[in-house]
Amino acid sequence: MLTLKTLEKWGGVLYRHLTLIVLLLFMNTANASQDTLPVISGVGGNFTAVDGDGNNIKFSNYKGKVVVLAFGYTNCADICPFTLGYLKQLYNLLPEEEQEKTQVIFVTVDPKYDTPKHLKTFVEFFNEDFIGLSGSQEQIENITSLYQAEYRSLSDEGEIATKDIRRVTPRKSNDDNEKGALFSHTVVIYLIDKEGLTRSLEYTGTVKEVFAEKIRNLINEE
Amino acid sequence: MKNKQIIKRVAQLFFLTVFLLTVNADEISGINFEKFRVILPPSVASGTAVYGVIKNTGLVADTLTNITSNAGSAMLHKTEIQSGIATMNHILEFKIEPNSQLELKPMSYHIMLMNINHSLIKEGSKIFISFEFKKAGIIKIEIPVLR
Repeated sequence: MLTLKTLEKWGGVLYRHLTLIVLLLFMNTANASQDTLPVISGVGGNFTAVDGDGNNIKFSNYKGKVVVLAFGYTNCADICPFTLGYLKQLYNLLPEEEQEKTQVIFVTVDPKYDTPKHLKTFVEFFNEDFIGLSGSQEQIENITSLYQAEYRSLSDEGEIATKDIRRVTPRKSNDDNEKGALFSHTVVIYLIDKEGLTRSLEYTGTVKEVFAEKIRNLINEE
Repeated sequence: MKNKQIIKRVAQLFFLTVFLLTVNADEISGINFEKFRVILPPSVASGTAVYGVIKNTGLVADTLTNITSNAGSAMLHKTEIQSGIATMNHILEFKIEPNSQLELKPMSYHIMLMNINHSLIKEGSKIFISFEFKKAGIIKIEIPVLR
């Protein structure tokens, strides 16, 4: 029978074990991100590429930061600018101290056209903190393979000789055979933790506040 | 008496109008454009997208057959995403049924402007795009460039 004496007894037990209860709750919170964002094995890994300043880099250079990685190319008129615009808004949801612990990376699937410098100018249009990675065709194929991403040239669609373009700015090269290609490509946005492990696959349809919270959890992860 | 004559004239005018509309019903196409904008691209981009809504408020279907612009070469494209992969497909022509619309928006139908003239496409500027329809003919509109 529930009496006042019984209540006092259990209240006392709870009070005495308060420290333990708080500790258990804290541990659950600390591990929550790993439970809710398990490591996606087989997706991701270390790779080499060339950054916008022409430096050879390893992906492991970004360890210690949460990375948000997407694939695309600069001749993409719809999806890629839309994705980068989304990432810009996402990044802006993070306070400055969290932005410092986050790196947005855009990897080109068209390294032939998207030279490091060209790509850098493109991504920095959206945010100066964003990094574009290019490299050799082999490096790009390695990266897409690691992330199980796909891309393919739509070879007969939209390739136009750049020598026929009315331009104000100089062409990227004086090669009369230079053409701009269109690609189909993966639109997944990869959320990678501070150890370089892929923890989530997102899309531009992910609610930005939810995405930002996931980034925050990974930043705060021990 | 005078009122009767007026009523008679109005009725004649009414039926004449209905007759003319009926006779030409298969030719009437009402195309309207709403919320069109060009997306400001990075300075190094060779292309950009144009979004908006094309409405057919007319009595018959009309088909969009060609798009041109003073700021670059224009094509109607459709982005399709299957199994996480996005593909853009060139759409040669698009039929808009009466009381229907074609919505151009991200990750869907859009106008792709390629080989763009950056001196024309800059923040705050406007460009021209001409839409050619089988019935409505060529309609040219001015579109703002927005960030």
